[in-house]
Amino acid sequence: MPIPEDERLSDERMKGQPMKDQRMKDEGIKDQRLNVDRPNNERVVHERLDHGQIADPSADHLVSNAQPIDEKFEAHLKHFRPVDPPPLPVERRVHAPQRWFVLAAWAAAAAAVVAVAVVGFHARPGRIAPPVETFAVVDQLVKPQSLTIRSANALLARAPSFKEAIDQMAFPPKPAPLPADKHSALAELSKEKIKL
Amino acid sequence: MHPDRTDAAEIESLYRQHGAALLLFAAAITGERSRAQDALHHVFLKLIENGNLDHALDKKAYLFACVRNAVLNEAKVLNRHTPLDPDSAVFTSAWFTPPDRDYAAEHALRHALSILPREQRLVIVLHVWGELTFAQIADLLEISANTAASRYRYALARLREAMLPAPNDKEDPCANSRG
Repeated sequence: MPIPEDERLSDERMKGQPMKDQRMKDEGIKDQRLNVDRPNNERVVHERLDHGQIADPSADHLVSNAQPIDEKFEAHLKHFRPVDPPPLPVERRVHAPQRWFVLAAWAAAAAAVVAVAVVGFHARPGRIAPPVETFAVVDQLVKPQSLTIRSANALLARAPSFKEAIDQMAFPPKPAPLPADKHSALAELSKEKIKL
Repeated sequence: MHPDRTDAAEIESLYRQHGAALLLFAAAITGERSRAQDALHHVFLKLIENGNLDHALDKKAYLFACVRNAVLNEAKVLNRHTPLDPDSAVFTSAWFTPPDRDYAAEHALRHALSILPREQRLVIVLHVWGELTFAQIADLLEISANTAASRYRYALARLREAMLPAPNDKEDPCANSRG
């Protein structure tokens, strides 16, 4: 912020006056104002400097011109920069709505993923409860040996044609029927009537 | 948003611009950096919530006055007026970033400031680091401009004296300043 002209002049006058007083002192010119109005003015200055306390605050303006402002030392002090304060807590608050938006977006995405997973889980054919009628063929579906690459290779090697090999893979032959005195547990269970 | 309220971004900009000097000023009153920070944050958060800086002709001086009032009010509430203890000031965290990483000089300056009378310390902080004119300082501290200038000269002399190296020690960086 630029210093207003009148204030700058006022400050310069304050800095300039002591120079004039110093010159007067150097040239042996007595300052009548100091000697007449306050003969002990110099002593007051020394007391203040020695004890570091303002003995008589009302006398400040009388001694204010006694010393010139040490501008080099002033400039030296300005090289020491005050440490910056920590950021205002409000800066975090200002960005809070954005963070809420991000959190809400993540929550929505997570909910969507969960919903898709649940729907997918229930929609899988293998997971649907088989109808009662299918119990009869359950034991047919249970293959004694699952299809593997090795068995497929063996089938391809043994089968007279490629088509027949594929047919055997798709419709494997029924397992050997159980002896007459033995029953399949699945077949027995499939006979049961289940009330729904 | 209230139409009379100053934009929060403008207040944050003022905080970034003058925060360091304001914090130093508050620390010069309290002697405790943590209390100074609290006062500074209190002032700026209040300004952001319901502040209006448009009525302030001199925003910088107004901010210094706000910080001073906040510190004094807090001291009144806590009923404590802790004099600035030179030893505690020396051992607390740094107040300045020294030139050329001269931390010994920073230490010496902090100690020199802490042993100054409070009135002089405030004036020197406001004029050197706050860059306020004597007229502004006079308004802020409710003293005359001459008194402010006088206190400044004494403070400067005392600081120089306190920071001067002992004889036969290293050379005074401002040795030529007195002609």
